[in-house]
Amino acid sequence: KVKLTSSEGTEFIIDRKVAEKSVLLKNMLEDVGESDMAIPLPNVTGPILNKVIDYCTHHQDDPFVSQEDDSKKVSDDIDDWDAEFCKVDQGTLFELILSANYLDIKPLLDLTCKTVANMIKGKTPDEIRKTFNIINDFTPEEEEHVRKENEWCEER
Amino acid sequence: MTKGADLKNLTKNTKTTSAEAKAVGLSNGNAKSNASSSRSSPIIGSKRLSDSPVPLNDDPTVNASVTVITKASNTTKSTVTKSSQNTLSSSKKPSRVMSVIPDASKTSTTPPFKSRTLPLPTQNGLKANSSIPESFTSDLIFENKAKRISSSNTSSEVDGISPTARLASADVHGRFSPVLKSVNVKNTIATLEKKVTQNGSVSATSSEMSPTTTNFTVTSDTNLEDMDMEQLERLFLNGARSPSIVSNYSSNAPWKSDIPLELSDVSWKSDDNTYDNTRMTSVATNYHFTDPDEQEAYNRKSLSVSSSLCDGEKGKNKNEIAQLNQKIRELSEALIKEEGEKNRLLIAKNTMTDRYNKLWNEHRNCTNKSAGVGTSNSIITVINNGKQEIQKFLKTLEPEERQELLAEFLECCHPHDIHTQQSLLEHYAKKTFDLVGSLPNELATKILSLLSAENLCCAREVSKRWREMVNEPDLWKAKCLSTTQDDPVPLAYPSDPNQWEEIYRGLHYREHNWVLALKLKKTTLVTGSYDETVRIWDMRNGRCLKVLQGKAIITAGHDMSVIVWDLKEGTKLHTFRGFGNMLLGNNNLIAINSDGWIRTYALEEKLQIHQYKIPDNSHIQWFSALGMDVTCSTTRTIYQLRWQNKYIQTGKKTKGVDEIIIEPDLSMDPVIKRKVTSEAEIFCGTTDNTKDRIIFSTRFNSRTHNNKSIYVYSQEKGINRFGGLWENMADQMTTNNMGPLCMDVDHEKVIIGSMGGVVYVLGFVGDRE
Repeated sequence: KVKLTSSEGTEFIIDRKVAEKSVLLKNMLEDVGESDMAIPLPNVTGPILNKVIDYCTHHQDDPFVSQEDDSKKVSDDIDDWDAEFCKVDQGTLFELILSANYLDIKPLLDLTCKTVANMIKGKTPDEIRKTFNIINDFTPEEEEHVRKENEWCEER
Repeated sequence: MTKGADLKNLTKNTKTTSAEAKAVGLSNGNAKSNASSSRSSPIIGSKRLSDSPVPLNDDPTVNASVTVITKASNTTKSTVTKSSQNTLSSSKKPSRVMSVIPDASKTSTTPPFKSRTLPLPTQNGLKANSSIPESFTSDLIFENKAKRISSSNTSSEVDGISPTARLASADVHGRFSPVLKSVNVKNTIATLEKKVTQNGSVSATSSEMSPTTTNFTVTSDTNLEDMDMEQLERLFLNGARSPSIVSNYSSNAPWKSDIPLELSDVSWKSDDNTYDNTRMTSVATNYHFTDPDEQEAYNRKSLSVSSSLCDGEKGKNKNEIAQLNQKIRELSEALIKEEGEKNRLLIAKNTMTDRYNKLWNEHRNCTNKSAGVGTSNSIITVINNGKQEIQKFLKTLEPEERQELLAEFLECCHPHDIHTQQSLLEHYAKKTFDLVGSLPNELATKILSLLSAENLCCAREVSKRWREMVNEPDLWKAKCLSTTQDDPVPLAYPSDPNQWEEIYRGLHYREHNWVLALKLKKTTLVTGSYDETVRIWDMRNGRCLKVLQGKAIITAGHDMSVIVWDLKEGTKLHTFRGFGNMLLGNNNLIAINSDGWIRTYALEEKLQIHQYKIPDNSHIQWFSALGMDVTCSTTRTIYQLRWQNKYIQTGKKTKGVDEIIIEPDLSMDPVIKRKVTSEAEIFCGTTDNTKDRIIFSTRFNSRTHNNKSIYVYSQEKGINRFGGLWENMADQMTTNNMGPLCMDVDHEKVIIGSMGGVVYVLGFVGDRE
């Protein structure tokens, strides 16, 4: 069993196996060994840590994927559970990405990044702006310039 | 009656009446002066009547057909105003009590009165009058939504009761009933009728009438509450100053306000009850009289109507009038008392508010001080520089710093602020934001690397921040490396990382134009690709036998030039410019431009011999040639052209005979040997010379119809679609946007090179060709 403390001090007790989905925690546990001390995670809030633990628990038996292997995987091969897991508001998704990166949970990072990539995929610049509530800060000339830069990849 | 209905009724009532209330309040001054000037109270009463209808007419529920009964009730209403003011004054006191408490000031601004006075009527009329103050008090102080509902219940009772009475009167004077309907809530009628029957006799109900009217009046007066304090106070003052008047009223007509019917009955019944109602109505609409005589006439009329209503109940009513007058006196005394109370409370309130303000200021100073000590000067200047500066400043902060600062702000919050902040924060949490742009660069790059070049280009146009992210060299490096990871020659790293995108552009074009040309010879396939390689494949095992780079005999570059290479030396022999595609004869070059021009060149002389335009204005999609025949095709039509043979005497002699060479006469127009028109769009094709067939296919991602058919044309069978495996598998085997670029065919198979670099080999099976 491993004790974790979120940024606001909430304690979570999880299986070591689940915790080890996080490379950060895995290394820490290997260095420190079994201990009753809670591991503080000042960069992760309680609700997000809860989500992360959900993910790790569900995927605890997945084989460990080494780097690069799946870098070529297309972004639409997300299974149902994962897709459901990612149905959160953008703020949560954002935090999940940061936490997955911080805790070094590669499959979760891949999943969340894919989810965001899918939000961008196939959209026009304007649709992307709408999706993420972005203001177009280009001047018309700049916009024209960028468009010119992009001509090479326009569909033939 | 359901609660919902009650509520509706209530709101209806309040709405209708609110306007009246104001008008009454305003007209009050007039009324008073009138009252003092003429002691003949009926006139005063009716005068006030003339004031009160004004708003009533504005009220949508009272339509044009305002008839006498409404008038009558108006009369009562307006007259009652005085008395109801008394009651109101009592009601007002509690409300003021509330406003004394500074914190409650907020609640008091949402007029606590609103739900209000309505309960009064429940007390059922005159007898209840004395108890009015209490009912008000409780209602007013505990103004809230729940309370409003309960009061609405009571008010519904009011509705129930007052209509009863009026309905009863309507029964007596049948024609008034429609009016009643319009005044009262329609759906209460059933209950009303019930009540009427309960009341039994007509006389009984009519005696109940006075209370009802009172109720009604009070209800309307309730809306006085809608007025602001000032107005209310004015009313109070009126009340305070006018008790005598009130009593005047009570001696004659005024209380008639409450029991107008009886009163009028008493004093004027004999006069003009002959006046007919229609006239009354017409008069009623003109409330402002310039001529006092006319006024009086009008007043009389109105009174007469009420008197007519009350025929036959005089005796009873007289007693009641006496009672009522007594009540009025009591009430006016109470009013004076309460006025005093009110003033006292007002003063108390003012002192309290002063104290509160003082304390609040002190508090603010305190917090300002404590906040000012900790924060640095820079923040203060930043804040002074306005919103944009603040945002800029906050964005430059590290996450920890930012959170600390935000916490500092929250620390200064008052409990009230915290609630606001909570809802604000919830709003922000749900709000979409520049998710990708807010991520650290390496994470943003990771996300963007999952996207295709097309998507990246779209993303680049989103905003400056996005352009910055897309321009990240690592992103393009990763893309380059992943596309070239199977290349025989590893990609050379550029000296400047910013060139990665440039390199990718080239790769991108290559990726989309993989197999540009191919040639089939028995089991060997030669392909020419955009990466400037010519590959020779073994068809039997699909292995690449050889990769030739830049050593083709003749290449047609995409810069519209044809270069003739010396195979052995590897040197450029000639460069002709201005071609789309070409093929080579013995010593001649036939170049076919995509605009439909076919030009012939003599290789040795490096001269253009002739040019010919196909009889079609479309672009040429593909062509092939063998011997004298050239086949070229637009999107709909395939032309097979043949040049005439020409015999050339070489001047040499073999075995004593002149040697003659036969070759196509390229200096002449070709003859159209065959013209094939296709329904489907032709994108790519080839000819099978051994069997005289033409194979062609659509562009796989045809925008109009996404079919991936391949067709065969032969002289005997016309155009046929490829069936079999291709028909079933095409969708799974091909990729959109990766259509065919070139084809070759021999007697048993078709080879298709696609934009994606996939070469499909299709075999002919059976007789479907």
